[in-house]
Amino acid sequence: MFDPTYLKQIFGGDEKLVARFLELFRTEMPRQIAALEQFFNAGDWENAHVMAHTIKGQMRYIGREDLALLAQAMENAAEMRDAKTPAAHFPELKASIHAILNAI
Amino acid sequence: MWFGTLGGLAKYDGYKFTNYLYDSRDSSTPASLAVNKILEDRQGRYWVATDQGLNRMERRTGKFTRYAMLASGQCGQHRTVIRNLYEDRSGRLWLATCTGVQYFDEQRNRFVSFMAGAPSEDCHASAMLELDDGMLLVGTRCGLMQVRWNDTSLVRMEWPGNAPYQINDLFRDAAGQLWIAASNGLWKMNANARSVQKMSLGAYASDLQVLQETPRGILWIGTTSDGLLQYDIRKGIVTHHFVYRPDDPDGINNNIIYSLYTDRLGNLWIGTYNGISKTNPSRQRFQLVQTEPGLHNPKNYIRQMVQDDKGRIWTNTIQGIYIHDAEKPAPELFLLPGQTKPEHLGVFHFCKDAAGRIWMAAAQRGLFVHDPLQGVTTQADAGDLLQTKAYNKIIADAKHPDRIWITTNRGLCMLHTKTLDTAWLYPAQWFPDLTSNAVTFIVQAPDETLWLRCGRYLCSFHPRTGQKRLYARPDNLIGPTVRGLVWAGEALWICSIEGIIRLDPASGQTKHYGLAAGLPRVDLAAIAAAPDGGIWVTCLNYLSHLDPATEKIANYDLVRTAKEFNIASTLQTKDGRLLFGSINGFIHFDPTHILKDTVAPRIALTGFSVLNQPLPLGIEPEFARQISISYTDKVFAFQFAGLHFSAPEHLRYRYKMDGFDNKWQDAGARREATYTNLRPGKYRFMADVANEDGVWSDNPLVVEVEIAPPYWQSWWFYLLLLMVCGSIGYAVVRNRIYARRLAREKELAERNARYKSRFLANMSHEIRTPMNAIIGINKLLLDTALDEKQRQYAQAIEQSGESLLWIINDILDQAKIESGKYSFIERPFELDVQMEQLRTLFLHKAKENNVEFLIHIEPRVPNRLLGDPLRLQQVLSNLVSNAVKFTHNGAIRVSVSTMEHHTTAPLRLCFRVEDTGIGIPEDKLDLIFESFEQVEEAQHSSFQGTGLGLSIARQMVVQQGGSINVGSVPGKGTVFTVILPFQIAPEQDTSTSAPAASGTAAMRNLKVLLVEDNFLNQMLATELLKKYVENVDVDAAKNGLVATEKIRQKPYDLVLMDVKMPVMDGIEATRLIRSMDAPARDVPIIALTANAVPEELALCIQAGMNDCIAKPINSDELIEKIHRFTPKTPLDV
Repeated sequence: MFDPTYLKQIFGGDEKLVARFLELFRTEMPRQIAALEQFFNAGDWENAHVMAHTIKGQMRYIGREDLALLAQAMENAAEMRDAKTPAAHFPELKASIHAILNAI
Repeated sequence: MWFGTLGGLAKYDGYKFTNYLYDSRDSSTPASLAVNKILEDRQGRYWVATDQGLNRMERRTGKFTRYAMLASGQCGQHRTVIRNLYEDRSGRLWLATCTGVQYFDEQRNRFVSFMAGAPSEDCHASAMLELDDGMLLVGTRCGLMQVRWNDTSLVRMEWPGNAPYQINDLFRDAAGQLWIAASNGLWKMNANARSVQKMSLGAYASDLQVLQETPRGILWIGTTSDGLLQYDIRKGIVTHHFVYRPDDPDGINNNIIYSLYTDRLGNLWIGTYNGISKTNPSRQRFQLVQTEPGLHNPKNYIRQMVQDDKGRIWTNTIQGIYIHDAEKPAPELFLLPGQTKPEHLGVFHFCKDAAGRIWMAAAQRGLFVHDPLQGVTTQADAGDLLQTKAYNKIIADAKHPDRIWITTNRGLCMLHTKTLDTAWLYPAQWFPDLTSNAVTFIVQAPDETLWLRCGRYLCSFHPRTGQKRLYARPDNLIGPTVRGLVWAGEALWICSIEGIIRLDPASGQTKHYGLAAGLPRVDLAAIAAAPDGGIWVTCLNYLSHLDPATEKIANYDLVRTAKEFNIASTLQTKDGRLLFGSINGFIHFDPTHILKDTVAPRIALTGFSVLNQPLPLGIEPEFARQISISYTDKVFAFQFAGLHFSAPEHLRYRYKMDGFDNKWQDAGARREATYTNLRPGKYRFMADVANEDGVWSDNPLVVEVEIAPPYWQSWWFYLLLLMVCGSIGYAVVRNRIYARRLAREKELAERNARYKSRFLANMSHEIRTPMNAIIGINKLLLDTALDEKQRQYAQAIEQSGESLLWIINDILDQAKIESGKYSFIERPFELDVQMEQLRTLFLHKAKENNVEFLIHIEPRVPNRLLGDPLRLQQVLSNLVSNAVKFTHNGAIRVSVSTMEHHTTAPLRLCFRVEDTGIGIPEDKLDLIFESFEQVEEAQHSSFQGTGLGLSIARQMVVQQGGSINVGSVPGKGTVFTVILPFQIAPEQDTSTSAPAASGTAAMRNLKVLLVEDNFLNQMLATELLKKYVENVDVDAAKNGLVATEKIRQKPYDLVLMDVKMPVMDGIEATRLIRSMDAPARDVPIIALTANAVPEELALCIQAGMNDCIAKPINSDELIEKIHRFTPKTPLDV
């Protein structure tokens, strides 16, 4: 579901820090996804762009490059004022996040 | 106004004459110079009677049509002479000729002649008049005749007596009475009875020439040689006889009267042997009455006046007393008892008592009283009054019928008119200020108070109560300068040589009216109050009116009539008229009905000139309604005149040009309007005239003016211009559209380039992550227990992974180099470690190719150096990898040597990479450092790589201040020589303690501001910092705005700045921080960005950041950069 390699590397193999990060991830991520969706629905492209960008980085932390690409697509969509692409990707993104959170 | 003269026809506009003269070569001119009569018929046509027949004038053009008349063959040279014209009620035009009369039958263009009875007799008709019953009377040299239609003849009418006579004029007055001017007097005709009656002209001449009436009831009679008579029809008497006087410029100019004419204003025009005279008897506002006609006549020098109960005016002149009776043609001389001839009486005054008697006080002669009922004049002096004789003024008391007051130099005397008893009053006894008892002027107020002038003072005295009061002004205005007193409107009005002074008797306050109030002069002569309260004063030739209510003053110049007014000479008559005496008689007028000129004047165009030259208009100017000129006529002028002949000199003009100046311009008496440089176009010129009482004309002059434009202002030129402009505009717009398209394409291209960069960055990132995974897992593999073979493979995987990363880094580096954003670091490193890494990297590869890979470091090369080991590694790797690619047997040798021997200055190291490969043809040597160049690409399909390596290597060497060269022999091998400068690093204890990252010193005691909106990123970065920096103090700010606040409050050693944040992003926050005061603005800022593209980096650097770290954060890079930008960090002990 997720890959802690990067986290382990960056924290120098400190398992406690990795665990703390993942705990934070579990509480933060649903909030961020909800916010992202809300920004898109409201047409707040500026904030949607920033939020997608942030989520993209976090997907990389946990080694989910596929989801980072999804977030990248959303980031681009926000820049292009495009509401269709995110709408199409949200179910997949939410389902994947849900699965990750369960796995943590 | 048209005049017929012996010298031609003349048109007069009030100012100048325009002549229409006979010209033998031009048949459109009058047929003769001698014009006898001009007649405007009911159709408005002008008929002109000349000595050479009948002419008709076209007024619009000023052209004449001549009519050939019926000549009888008689009369000799007079046979073509037409003496007079007459239009009867049926519109027939009658001509008076030498043989009788003719009428002009216009329809048949013929003349019908009526001859006097005896054909041999030249009757010389001169006048015609149609009676109410249709009878046409004809006045001739042979007497009065009438037209007989049945035999077209003239029949002599019955006339009393047989004396030879000649009829010169026939006239019907306004009342319908018929008058006949004959050589033997004035006759009145009874039309019904066909009888005539001679009217008495008294002693005046009876050879009459012409008759005219104006105003109604006044008949003017022009005589053949004795001037002009004014005849009152009602009274049947001659009231005035005007004769030529060489000393009177305002009189008639000759006693031979030819013609009389009345214009619409009531002006009487008098044609004489010597020209024209003009008078307006009905319009004299201020009528002059003279004792005898003529100038400088002492009998006209009027000094004092009084009116008796019969309405007669008694005047005292410097040559006798005269009584003017309106019923009598001439005034009557009055002689005082003892007088034998009229003479100058010296100081004198009149008054009339309640009984109607006239009292006369003549200084040095005595006091006289005249009883008009008995016609007796007696001396009234008695007692001490008889001794005085120094009389000044006398007035009758308004309340006491038997009392008159006499002012003398001895005092004030009250005289009882019946008993002649006197009572004396001495002002000097009343007021100690007075030095004399002399009293001069006196006036009585309605309350009986007497106002007296006593020396320098005015004093009031009430005869019944005895109340007295003294008045003075410091400037003596009401004392010695007084020339008259008058009571009006509860105030005393003083006529002074300094103006008018109003004295309020109750308060003693005075008010002065002088030049500033509007008087033409202040040395006043006389004062009078009109029944309406108006104050009238005279002064030299001026008569002035002060309205006490409005305090406005109106002035009348009477220099032509009164000439000069006399001091204290005034009278108010019973009917309210005012009289003022002058050296030329007295003028009288009704002050409540000053005759105003209410007739609106007319105005006509009299000329039009361009550049001061009259412009021929084709028609007479007065008919011109439209004038067209060219734009080259820069200066043009209109001349106009008010046709108002009573006083042309008093006419006032104004004009305007609609379209240029829309407001009336006051022209005063000027009759010309000049315009210069008007723009082409249509204008409307208007001129207007006002008479002397300000009545403007009913129909202002209107002339439409059109100034033709030059061709470049005409409509077709504008059209052409419009088309040209349109074409240019179209071209410009097209060009604009083209330019805009170009700009859009350029923008598109730039955006594509940005997309390319972003794509490259994304791609390299996407590849790097799995590559890192491969390399990482391979490292894990290497950590496990492996046999030698397995270890070698694992190491090969590691190396391949590394080289793939190189490729990707190459691409990123190339992009960086292209945008000039490549930077080098300087840190200590060990040369042998780097060379060993190089060997590890390529040893396996070289073995695969059966190539020996040798590294040799010259012993005197220092091992510890200061510089950028990564970039050195990159340059050498590129060269070696290139060598490995193209070498299939033999050896690859890397040697390091030094060119200098000293160890302090920058040390120049020489790196040689030799191979025994295929070599490079000489002509390609120059190309190998170019981007994406590979020699004979097709031939060597096994060649790998991006083709960027050598290009990047050279750029890096050059940018570090070094050089790179290549030498090659095809088939033998290639040698690359790189020379790079390095500093020598100080020797160091190698047992550096953890947790320092590789190549960096330990760090501690840092205050870091972490600007990061995302909680996860915050946590990650914070933990990293805590892990690698001892005693680090990390503050987090969730956006740029919060960060700037924190920086203002507290100093930091470093800021880690996320780029993309809500509220305020990192770029903006950096700019703000850099604009703050020191030391906050100098804090090092390192960007954290997930978009590791040169554009983003450039943005960060431009905003003022020091460096940029790509996310996800690499711990080594983070520590290395923190180390670089926090130099104060002490090395660990």
